[in-house]
Amino acid sequence: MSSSPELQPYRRTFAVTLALLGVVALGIGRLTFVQLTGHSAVASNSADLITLPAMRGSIYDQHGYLLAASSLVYDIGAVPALVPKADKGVVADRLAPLLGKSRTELFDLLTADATFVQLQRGMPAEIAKQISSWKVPGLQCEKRSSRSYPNGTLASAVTGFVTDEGQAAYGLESYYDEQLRGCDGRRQAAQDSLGTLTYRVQAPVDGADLYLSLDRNLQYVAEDALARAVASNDAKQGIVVVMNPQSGAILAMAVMPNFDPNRRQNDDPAVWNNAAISEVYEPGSVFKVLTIAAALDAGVITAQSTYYDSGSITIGGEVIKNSDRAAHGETTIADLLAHSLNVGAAHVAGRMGAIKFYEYVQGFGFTRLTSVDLAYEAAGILRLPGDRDWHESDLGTNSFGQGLSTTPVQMLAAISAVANGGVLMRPYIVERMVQGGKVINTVPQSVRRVVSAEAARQTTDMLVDAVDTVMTAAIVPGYRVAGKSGTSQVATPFGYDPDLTIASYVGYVPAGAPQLAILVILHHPVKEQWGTTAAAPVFREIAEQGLTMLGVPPDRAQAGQTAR
Amino acid sequence: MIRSQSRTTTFAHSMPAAGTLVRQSYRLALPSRMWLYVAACLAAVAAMAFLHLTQASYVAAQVEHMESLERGLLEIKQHNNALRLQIAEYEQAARIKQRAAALGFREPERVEYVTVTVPASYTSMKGSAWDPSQAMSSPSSQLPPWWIAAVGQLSAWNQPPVLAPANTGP
Repeated sequence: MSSSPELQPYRRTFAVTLALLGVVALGIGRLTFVQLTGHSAVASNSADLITLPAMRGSIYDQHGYLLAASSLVYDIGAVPALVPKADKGVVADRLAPLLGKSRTELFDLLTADATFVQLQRGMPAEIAKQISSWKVPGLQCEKRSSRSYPNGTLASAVTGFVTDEGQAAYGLESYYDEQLRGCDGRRQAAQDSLGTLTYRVQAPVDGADLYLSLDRNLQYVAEDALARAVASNDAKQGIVVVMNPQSGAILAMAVMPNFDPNRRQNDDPAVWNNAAISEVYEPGSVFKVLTIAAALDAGVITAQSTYYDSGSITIGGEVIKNSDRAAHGETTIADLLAHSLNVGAAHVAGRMGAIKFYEYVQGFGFTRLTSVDLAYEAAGILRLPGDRDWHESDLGTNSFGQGLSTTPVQMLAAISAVANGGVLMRPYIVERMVQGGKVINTVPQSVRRVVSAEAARQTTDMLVDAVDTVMTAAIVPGYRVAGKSGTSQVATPFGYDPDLTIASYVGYVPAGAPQLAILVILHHPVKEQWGTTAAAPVFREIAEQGLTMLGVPPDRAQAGQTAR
Repeated sequence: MIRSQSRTTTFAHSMPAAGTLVRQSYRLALPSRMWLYVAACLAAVAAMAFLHLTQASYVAAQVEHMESLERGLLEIKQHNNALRLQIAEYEQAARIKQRAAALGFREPERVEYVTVTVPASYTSMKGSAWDPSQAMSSPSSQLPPWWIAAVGQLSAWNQPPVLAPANTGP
């Protein structure tokens, strides 16, 4: 190359052009790289809003036992046309033990004349990985988030469930859906003034974990005892609610028949309803506890009062008789409760007068929601003076729990008010909510004082006497038990059914400082139709085991000084 | 352009022998400066474009990485939940009851509640919680608190079971 000065401009121009071409080549190279490698990310993010899913919170019992959680599951499906004909038999053979279906059923599905067939839903990752590793054309494993309930049917009425589409239904899942669901995050692509790609990112906030007041072990005991009682009495339905009367914390809530929230395909949707809060019933004689407590508080009667029981009483033109159809003569209030005398209850209510009586009934929370934190609570039905359909005779029938309807949780909350020295507490089931590092504790709420502590104590003493002398099926050795049975008739559009009953038992223990208030209801029992014989043994079983679990010492000296 | 043409004319008059070559070199030399400016501008634009693309691809790569991390995090969380669910299934009350029965455990037939005498050193401590620092500095006792507690517990066990008085809570 000559270095003549004449050629210098050429060289400079050539060098600059080369440098320029190099820069352009680099630019093109980089652009190509971006197009080839980063294209999908840029393309997918440049315009659309990307949702970052939040994890649904878990549900635990008071001891931290897991009751519900979300996890990844796989739906196994197939496109029959793509599965090689010769392999279908072998594939069915290999799938059968993994999917828990018969070989014939799977083979039929794989040979079906359909575009797509679902072989099994909700399989764990290990099985999906195993199936994917076979690399059989046409077999598909679709990933999705699923809600699982590891205890199966246990507390299913309380938890409710989440559908495969992610819709919360019933129970806690529905009531706390917003808190459990959390908040999805998002990432949105945007361009600044220079056209540079930027991203706005909002991290997802996982749902809160719920820790319940429910005791899983007590729940198991309650469900076990109730299931046996329903089966042995051929009852249509059974309900148990266990509450701490001092705080309103629900410790167990069982409904039979129950359901498995993991497998609901063949369920009658009626079983998903939590009958303990959503269905109303006529409480019957257990209501007499409230009538007496109210009358004692109002000063209409005293613990030593007596009345003359002639076997019937007429209120508002309606004749009310005792369930035994007998006349008991001069009767104490304690005997009224012990023998569950309708005439006595109507007599006491009559002495109180309608206005006062219904004031107390409303004070105990009837006709209003208890505000328990579960979905679909019902308020109950009660006709009040002044209502178009209220009749004077209602005062008599309402005094012993007929002609009005209430939910089991409402009934137990009212009885718990007597157990709690006359103070009504709001029932609750979520003890604390944990979101990230933030803990929100539920503080027990007293709704109002309904009756005086003295009236409550006197009522309790009478109920303890009633258990000790008459309702011995509810005795828990070593403990003072306050309880009352109820056997109500079942209302139909044509009056009360002569054959059907609702047998119930409500009580609390230890009577002096109650830790457990328990309500047992059996709908339409066939073998034992009375509350004392059908429901009281269930109460006793739950109370006995519950007291042992909670470590509650006996409150009464007992022969042998033992308690089981 | 008018100025360059006039200069060319001037040179042609002064150096007629090499007129053609000189005329040509000046024709190239003058636009080459322009070329330099253009080239510099182009280089600057290309560099900016390059920087822009680099930045864009860097952001895209970061987002992709972030996305994969997010996916990983979600899968780990879900997997963690799956393991928790598996543990919960093993912890089922019915399963434990069955297993306990198989191992020969039975439900208790007699539950005895004993009244335990709380040692004085406990009551003198602040609150109900164990506070070794206070216990150690307590002038009332030369013995370590754990020893007092152990002796108190043993003597309580030696006594026959006594039921709690009526109306006593847990």
